[in-house]
This record gives sequence, structure tokens and C-alpha cells, in this order.
Amino acid sequence: MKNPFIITLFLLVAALSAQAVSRIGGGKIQSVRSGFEMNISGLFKIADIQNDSVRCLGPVSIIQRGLTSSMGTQFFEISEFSNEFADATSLSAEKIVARFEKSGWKKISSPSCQVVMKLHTNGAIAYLATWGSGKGFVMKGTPTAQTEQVMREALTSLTISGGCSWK
Amino acid sequence: MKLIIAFTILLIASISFAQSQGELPSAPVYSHGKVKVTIQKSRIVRTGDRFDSVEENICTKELDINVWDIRQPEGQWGTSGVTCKTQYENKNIEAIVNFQAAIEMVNLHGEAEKTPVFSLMGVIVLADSDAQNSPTKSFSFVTLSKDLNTKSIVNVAGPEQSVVCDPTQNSSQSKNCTITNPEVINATVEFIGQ
Repeated sequence: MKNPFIITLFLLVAALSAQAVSRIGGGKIQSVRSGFEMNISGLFKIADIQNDSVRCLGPVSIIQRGLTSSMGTQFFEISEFSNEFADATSLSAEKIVARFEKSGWKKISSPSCQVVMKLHTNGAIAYLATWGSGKGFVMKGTPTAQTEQVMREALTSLTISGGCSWK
Repeated sequence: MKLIIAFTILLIASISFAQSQGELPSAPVYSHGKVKVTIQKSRIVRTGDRFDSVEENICTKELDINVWDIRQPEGQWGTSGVTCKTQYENKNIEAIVNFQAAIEMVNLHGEAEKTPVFSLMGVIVLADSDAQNSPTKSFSFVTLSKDLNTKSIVNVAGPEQSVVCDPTQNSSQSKNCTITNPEVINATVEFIGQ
């Protein structure tokens, strides 16, 4: 007979995984774990779900990475904040901002109690949005104006259930 | 003396006629050039609290190419190309870049003198080497430049995607489609001089 503890642990992990960022149809994604829903613009299609994250593919474009430019499909991925930054889930809003500003992230205004920050490097554009207790998500994608625009539109459409849960 | 005058008149008339008929060149090749094609894998990775892309070079090849005269029928043009083999997620992938370079004489901004405008047209194909029905993904490009005489990076622009194999579609063509996404493997075509 198998160890009931291992079975319970497996079921718990499977349940949590199922509740992570996922596609719900109609160009929308949701996360039961973090309690949010967001629209993805028609230019980008939710193409792929892998490792608790979704991947959105856009049109082919020139992708400038630092001094080099190449051609490829624009894309971005959305994953749980708690998966990307597991060691930041218990931080306060102020500490989150202080920590990520040290790495070049910039805080951008958000309509409610969420912390929303943006990072632009040579090879990627990323946004993080969190509202306490590790809830939230990270979006990272190709450094093009179109990818950034669709990510910003997604942020504008963000709705969270249950409000913020900062400690 | 009359013979010399007649011959001179005939010569001038011949030159004028040749100039007026200058629309069609005698040879389809306008010029020769050198192109550098780079094919790379790129992916976004996290380092500390930052995200950035990491590029891994699959191959870089330099080619001597013909720059064709756009007034000649396209059937006479030749195509240049590069094929590089690589592996991605345990699949053997062939990345193929085929292109043609051409020159068109254009009156830019109403100027009387015509300026040569360089164009590069081509297609990048990613193919699964081992698949039976050879699924591929391809995307084409066109670019224009006035910079033929200087070393310059050709900005690849105006994409027109043609997806033969797309795992997100349910068409019969896309069944058993295992090819990698083009955002992972991409190419740069650089005109590096004549």
C-alpha cells in the first residue's frame, strides 16, 4: 500500500497546479490561486500552456535586442508571481518595491492597492503585479513596442477578486 | 570630309538612341555584394530579479551574392541561401534562409536623378528534419535600403507570415506538427558591402 501522505501531497500539488494561470477562452486568462482575470488582445493568441504559465504569440516582427536586430515571432509569457519569485511572497508592498527597484524595475501607477512594476532590458520587457501574500503574476516578453502595448492593455483589463492581502 | 561628317552624325545618333533606350540593361546582374546570415536561438531567462534574453549562435555564414536589376524578368534571377542544422528539444531542426537581392532605380522626393534602392526579399523556413511529412514554419521578409554603398545592417521589415505548420490550429496540415516556435530560432540577414 502506498503512503497516504505522498498521495495527499501529490493531490495537493496537482490541485494547486490546476489553479495556476490558465486560459479560460474568449481571449481571457485567469488564476484561481491568485484570484485574477485578464484579457489578451486579439493581436496575440494564447497559444500554449506550460509549467503553470501561458504563452501568448503575436505577429512576426523585427526584434531589436541591444545592438542586434533579428526577425521572429513576438511573444510573452504570464506566470504566477509566487512561482517566479518564491522568496518575495511574504514581503510588504514597500519591501517589494525597494527590492525590485535595486534590480532596475520601475514602479508604475496602478488603480488600486496592487504593486505594478516594469523592467526593460536589452532582451526583454517584463511587468510584475502583486497584491500581497504572493498573489499576482509576472509577464515577460520580446522587447517590441507591440508586445509592450498588448501587455499594458492586459494590465488595464486586470480584475482581482478578494482585494489585496498585504500583511 | 563628307564621309567623316556622316559617320560623326551616325555615331551621335547611335549614342542618343542607346541613351534613350537605357531602360533595359544588357545583363540582369546590377552588382555583386556580400551578405552575412546569422541564425540563432534566443530565449528569455531570469538572472536574479531581472529578465533578459540569451542568444546562442547556431551558425554565421558569409555569402557572395548577385544583386539583380529589378527591370529584368524575375525568372532570370538566381537565389542565394543558407542552411544550418541544429537541435531543439531533442528534435533535429533545419533552419533555411533563402533570399534575392535587387536594385531599382527610383526618383526619390521628386529628384531628377534616379537613386538605386536596394531590396532584399526572402524567406526563413524552420523544418523538422526527421518528420515524415516534413512540417515547416516559414516567414518571409522584404526590406529596402538606399545604403548599398556602405556597410549597413539590413533591417528586416514588412513580415508576411506563412505558417504551414501551426500546432495552435486544427487544420489537417497541422496534425502531428512538432516544429519549434519561430520565436526560439530566428535569423538576421546583413548586407556587409559590395
